[in-house]
Amino acid sequence: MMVDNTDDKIFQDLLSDYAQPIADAGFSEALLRQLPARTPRKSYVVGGAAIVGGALALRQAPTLFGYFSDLKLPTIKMPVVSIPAVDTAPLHSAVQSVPSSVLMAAGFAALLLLGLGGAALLGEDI
Amino acid sequence: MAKGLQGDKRLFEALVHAHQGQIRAFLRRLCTNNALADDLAQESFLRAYRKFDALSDVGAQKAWLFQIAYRIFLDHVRKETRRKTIDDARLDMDAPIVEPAPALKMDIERAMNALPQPQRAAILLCLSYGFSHSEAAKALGQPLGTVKSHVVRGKTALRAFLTAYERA
Repeated sequence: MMVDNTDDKIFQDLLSDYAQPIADAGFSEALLRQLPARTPRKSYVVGGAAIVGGALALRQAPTLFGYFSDLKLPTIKMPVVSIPAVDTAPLHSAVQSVPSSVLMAAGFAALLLLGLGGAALLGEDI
Repeated sequence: MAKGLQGDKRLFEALVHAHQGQIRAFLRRLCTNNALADDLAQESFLRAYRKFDALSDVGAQKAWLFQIAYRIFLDHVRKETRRKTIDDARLDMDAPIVEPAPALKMDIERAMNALPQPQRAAILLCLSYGFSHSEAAKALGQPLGTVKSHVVRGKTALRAFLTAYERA
């Protein structure tokens, strides 16, 4: 309260009836009934978009799996790198014995792991 | 987020209960029409509810509410001024409802109603509702010096009235 002298106190007393707060008499209740609903519009939009996007992606999944199952990977002949004083023959025969599709899948998985790990480290949302 | 909004609504409800009496009294004394004042008060609180997220300083909520209420009052006066010519900012849409009261009370009411509206508003905020001059300046959207001047002139006018009343 900023009344700090007798003069202001006199005026405050003089105006006490004039400035008296009005009794509620249902005003607050009537007002609160009129308040508009404050819905989290943003989360509804984002959530709805995520559901629709997910449904569309799921719908495409069988086609995607079918594509990968029909994929014929080419046969790759690995070039032989001869390093003097290092016998690569056992390594060479081991690699050649692994099917090329497995090698491709392993390479893809390694790239995916690198990508996810990098994003996690950088703190990016996926 | 839903929980946050529930909390906001409870906070706002508390705000209404705490300040509706003074806001309505303030507007009634500016409008000199009780029904109009309550309509403007309701509009003020609804606008405050829409802007509730913008209120960062809970301690300044009283000044913020009065600021909204006064702006709504001024908007209404401007609309009415466009419709009809009025010399001062006092609104007399209908005959003011004055309850029978002792002579002094009636005369104080007449003395206050005779003040120009900006002075009346400044006097009410600073002398009756506990606003500092700077809080009142913010609520009324006026420079600090102007508010101080309004308060001084208003007090001078009321002092003159009191002197005349005592002599009578």
